[in-house]
Amino acid sequence: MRASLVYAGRLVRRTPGRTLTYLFGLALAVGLFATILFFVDASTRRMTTLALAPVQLDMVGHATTPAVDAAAITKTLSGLDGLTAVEPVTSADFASATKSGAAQGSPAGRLFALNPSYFKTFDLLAISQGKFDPAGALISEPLAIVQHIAIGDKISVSFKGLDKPIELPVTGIVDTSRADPLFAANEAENTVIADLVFVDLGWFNSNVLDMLKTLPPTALTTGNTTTQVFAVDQQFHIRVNRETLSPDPAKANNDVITLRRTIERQFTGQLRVTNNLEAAFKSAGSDVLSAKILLIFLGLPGVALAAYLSKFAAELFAEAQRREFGLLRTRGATPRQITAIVAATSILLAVGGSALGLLIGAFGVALALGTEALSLANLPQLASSALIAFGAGLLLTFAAAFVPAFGSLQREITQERRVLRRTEGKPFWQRAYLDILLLLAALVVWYVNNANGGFKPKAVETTAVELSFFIFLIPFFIWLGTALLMLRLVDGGLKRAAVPLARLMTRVMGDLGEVAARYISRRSLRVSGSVTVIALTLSFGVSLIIFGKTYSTERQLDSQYVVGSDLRVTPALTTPQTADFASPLMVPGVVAVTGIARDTQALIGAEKQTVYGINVAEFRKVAYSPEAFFETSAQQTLDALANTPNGVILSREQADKFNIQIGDPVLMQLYSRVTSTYINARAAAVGIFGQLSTSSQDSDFILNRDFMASTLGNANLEFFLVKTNGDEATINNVRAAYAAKFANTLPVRIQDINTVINADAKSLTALNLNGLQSVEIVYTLLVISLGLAIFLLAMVNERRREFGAMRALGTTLAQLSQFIFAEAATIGVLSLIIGLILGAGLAQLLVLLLRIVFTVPTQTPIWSLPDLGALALLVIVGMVISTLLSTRRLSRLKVIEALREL
Amino acid sequence: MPEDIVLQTRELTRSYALGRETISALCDVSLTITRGEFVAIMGPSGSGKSTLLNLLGGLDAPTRGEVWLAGKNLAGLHENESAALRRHTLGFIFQGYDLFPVLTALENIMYPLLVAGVPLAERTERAGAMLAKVGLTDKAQHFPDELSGGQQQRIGIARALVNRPLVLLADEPTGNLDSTTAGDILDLLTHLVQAENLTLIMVTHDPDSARRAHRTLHLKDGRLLEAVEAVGGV
Repeated sequence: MRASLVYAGRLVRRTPGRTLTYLFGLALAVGLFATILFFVDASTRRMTTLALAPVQLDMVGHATTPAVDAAAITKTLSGLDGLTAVEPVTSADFASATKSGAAQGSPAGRLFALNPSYFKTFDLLAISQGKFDPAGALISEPLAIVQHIAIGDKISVSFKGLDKPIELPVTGIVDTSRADPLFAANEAENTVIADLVFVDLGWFNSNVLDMLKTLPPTALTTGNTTTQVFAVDQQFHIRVNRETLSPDPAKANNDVITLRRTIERQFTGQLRVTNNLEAAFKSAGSDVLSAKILLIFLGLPGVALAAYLSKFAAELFAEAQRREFGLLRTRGATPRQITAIVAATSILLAVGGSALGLLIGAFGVALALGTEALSLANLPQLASSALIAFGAGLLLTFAAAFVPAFGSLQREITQERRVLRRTEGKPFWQRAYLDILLLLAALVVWYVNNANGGFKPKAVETTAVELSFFIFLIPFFIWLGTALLMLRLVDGGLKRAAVPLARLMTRVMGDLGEVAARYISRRSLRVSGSVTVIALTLSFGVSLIIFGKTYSTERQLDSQYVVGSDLRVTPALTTPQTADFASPLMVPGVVAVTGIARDTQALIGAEKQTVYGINVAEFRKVAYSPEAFFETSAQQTLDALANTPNGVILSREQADKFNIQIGDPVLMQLYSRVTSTYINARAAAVGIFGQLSTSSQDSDFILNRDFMASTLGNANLEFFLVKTNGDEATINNVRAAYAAKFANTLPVRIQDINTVINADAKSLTALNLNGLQSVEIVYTLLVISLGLAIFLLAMVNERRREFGAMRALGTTLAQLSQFIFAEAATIGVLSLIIGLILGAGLAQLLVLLLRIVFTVPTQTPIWSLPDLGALALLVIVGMVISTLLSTRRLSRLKVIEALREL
Repeated sequence: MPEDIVLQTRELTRSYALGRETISALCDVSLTITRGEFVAIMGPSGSGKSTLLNLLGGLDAPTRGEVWLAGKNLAGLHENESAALRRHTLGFIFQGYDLFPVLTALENIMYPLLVAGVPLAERTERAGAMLAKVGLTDKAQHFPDELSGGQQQRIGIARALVNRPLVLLADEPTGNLDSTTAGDILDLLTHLVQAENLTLIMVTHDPDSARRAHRTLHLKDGRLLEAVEAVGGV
C-alpha cells in the first residue's frame, strides 16, 4: 500500500491542473455543506442564548406554607450543583401606601422584602435615585410620581387585617420597568403592579413577618381553579448556571426540568418551583427546528450542485488516470496493483479535498456570523459537523472518482475508447419519464403534507426536535424532477433547433458557425447537462436574493404587526390618558396617532376576554392592516365597524369558539377600573378578521372606542399607536423626542419596530440570514464560473483528438477558440434565461416556507432588481473568465500526442 | 534551395526538460526530400518519429536547427502563418482516421477548404470530386460512425488531398486496419500521390508498407540512422 500511495502521490503531482480542479471541485461541495452545518450549530447556540436572554429570573421557589425555615432552604439551595445564585424574597400585598401627612393614598400595591445583594444578583430593579438603606424603604417610580413622594419623605403602608400601618423613611426611587418577572413569579396572577415598596428582608422578618403570618389565607379564583393565598409569599429567586446547559434547547430543557424536580424533591410539601426557562426553551426549540428546515432549503440545493460539479471534475481527473493506467498495464502492472493505486489516489484526493472543504466551511461561517461562531464553546457540535462534512467528502470521492476509475479498469482501454466515442442514446431516465414521475410524486407528497397540517414543524416536548420526513421529500422531488425535465427539454430543444442554431451561428461566426452549431446539436446531452447544472445554480442564487429581500421585508412587517404601527406608547396604569394625549405625541416626524382602549377583564359568556376599542377613522391611518388580516377586506370590515356604533369585529378563532356569525348579537360585560364593577354591553357582530394590529396576542373582540367609553363611563385609553414615514432614523428621532418629553414627568413605555426586532431576537425572525446569504451567493458565483470552466475543459478534453486533427488541417487557434466561445455562449445564454425563470419559481416555494416563520402570512416574493442585476453581471463576468481560461488549454494542445492519445 | 526540394531540415533537434534532466527526443536530424518522393520513417517506440512529424508539419518548434518547407523557414512563422502553410501546402492522414463525428463524409472532406475560406459552391464541387476519386460517392451523407475503418481512412485521404497539398504527412495510416484493407488503402494512396506528383512522408512500423517507399529513414534514440533506398519503390 505504501508503494501505491507513493505512486498515487506522483500521479496527482504529475497533473497539477487536474488535481487542483478536482480538489477545488470537491472542496466547494464539502465547504458549502460544512458552512451550512456550522451555521446550524452556531445558530442553534445563538438562538438558545437569545431565547434565554430576556429571562431574568430562571426559577422561583414558592413556600407552600408560611411555616418554612427560609434561612435553611436558602442555605441548602445555595449548595446545589447547577445553581449560581439564590436570593430569599418575601412579598405581601398592601391595601394602600400614603405619603405621611397626605390625605389620599395609593390603590393596592405590593411590598417586597429582600436583601441588599438582590440588586446585584438580579438585573430586575434599578435604583434611579437615592440608595437602599435597611432602615428605610425604596418606592417605585409610578408611586413616587402619582403620590408626589420624594426622598426624605415618610411613607405609611397599611395592610388589610393589621391595625397599624408601618412607617418608614423613603431612601430611594426604583425603576421597575424590567421588574415584570417579579409578578409573573406567582402563577396564580400575571398582573403588573405599579405601586411598589421595597424594604430590607432582615428588618421585615423582625418587624412585620410574624404579624402577617398570623392572618388567614384568602381564596383566589382563576378560571375554574381556586387557590389559597397567604398574606405573605415567601419566595426563593434562583439563577441556573447557563454555561453548563446544552446548546440544544430540547436537551437543555430536560436538564432544567430535572434540576427543578431535584429542588422540589429536597423540600417535599414546602416548596413549589416555577421554571421560567421552560417556555423560553420551548420557543427556542421551535425556532431551531424552523431554522433547520429553512437552512436545509436554502443550502442543500447548492451542496447538491457543487457535488454534481465535483463529479465532472473527477471525470477530468479520471481521464488522466485512464491514460496513465493504460501505460502501466502495457508495462506489466497487475490489475491488483492498479486497483491499489486507484484506491490510494482516491484517498489522497478525498482527504485533501475534504480538508480544504472544511477550511472553506470554517471561513464561510466566520464570514457569515463572525469568528465567535467557531469558539471553543461550540467545539463538540462543530467537531461532529466537521466529521459529517468530511465523511460526505469521502463518500463523494468514492462515488465520483473511485467507482468510475475502478469501473474503467474492468474494461480494456480499446473498449473504453469505443464507449467514449459511441453515439449518444436516450438515457434510462428519459425513457422511463423519471422527471415527470418525480414532479408528480412531489405534488402527491405536497398534498399529503398539506392534508396533515401543512409545513408546520413537529416538535415533541422534552425530547430532541424532529423534522417531518415529508418536508424533505417535497423539495428533493421538485429539484430532481425539475433538473431532469430541464435536461430533457434543453436536450430535445437543441436537437430540434439544429437548423436555426446553425443559421444563427453562421451569421455570428461565419462558415465555421455551422460546424460549431453541429457540435452543439449532435452533443446536446452534454451541453444540456451543463445548462441544467449552471441554470439550477443560478436559480439557487436568484431565489436566495429574492428570499433574502422578502425575509427582511417580512421581518419588518412582522415587527410592525407586533407594535401595531411604527411606535407604541403605553402610559402607566396609574396615570391613564385620554384621546387628548395624542396631541403631545404629535412631535416632528409623526404622521398620525390613535389611542386604543383595552379591557383585559371583560367577560364573554363565563370567560375572561380582552376587548379593544378603536377609533376606526384614526386606526385606518395609523395601524398596520394588510388585506391578509381580513376575511373579506380591510375596507369592508372596518367600514362595517365604523357604521355600526355598537358593532364588534372579532377574530375567526373566537367566532368559531363562541359560534358567532356576522349579524349575531354579542353580549359582553366590560370591567370598569374606575368603579371596579362589570357593566353589560350589547354589541353586534359586523366583521371577522384573522389578525389585527391592536395586539399580536389577544386581538379577539374590537369595539368602537366611543361605544366602549360611553358604556364604561370613562374615556381612559391603554396605549397609543404612532405612525411616521417609516424611516428608521425618523422612528429613532420620535422615540428620543418622547423619552426626553416624558422623562421624570410621566411614566410611559415606548416600543418601536426597531426595538421589537431586537427584543424579538429569541425568535427565528431574528436569525441573521444576511451572512449566510452572502456566503451562498459567493458559492453560486464560484460554482457557476468553475462549473462552466470544468464543463468546457471536459468538452475540450473529450475532443482532444478532433481539435488535434483540426489544428493539423490548418485551423488556427482563434478559429478553434470560436468553437469554445460558441458553446460557452449557448450554455451561458440558455442558463441565464432558464436560471432566472426557475429562480423566480423557487423563490415562490421558499416564500411559502416563510409562512411557518412569520406571523404575518407572506404573500408574494419581493424582487430586488439591483441585486439581481449585480448577480447576473457577476455571473456573466465569471463565465467570460472561465471561457478565456478554457481556450488557453487549446494553445497547449500537442497535436500528434493528442492524435495518438498519449 | 533547388526547385525540386520541397522539404529540408538542418541539424533538427528537439529536447524536453524533465525535472533537472534534459531529454533529447530528436538530435541533429538533417534530411532533404524532393517533390514526388515517397519517404518512409521507421523506428521503435520513443525513437522520435512523432517528434519529427510534428516538426515537419510545423506543429512544434525545434530546440535547434531549421525546417524549410516549400522554400519557407518554419522557424520564423507566426502561428497563423504556420496554420496557413499547413492549410495550403500540407495534407495530414492519421492512424485513427480522426474524422469529425458531427460532420458527414462530404463535410469532412470539405473541412480544410472551409477553414481556408473557399466559397461553399467550390468546396462542394472539389470535395465531391475527391469523394469520387476514393470511390465513396454513395457515402457522401454518411456520418463517420456509419462507415467501416477502411471507408473512414479513404475519407481521411480525400480530406488530406482536397486542398491540393505539396506534401502529404501520414502517421501510420494503415495501423488500425487489417492487412487486406491496409493493402487497398496503400494502393489508393500511392496511386493518388503518383497521379498528383505529391511528396509522401509516412511513419510506419510495417516493413511491407515501408518497402513501397523510395526511401526509408530509420530513427533510433532521436538520431537518424542510414537511409535505405527501396529496390522497387512505388
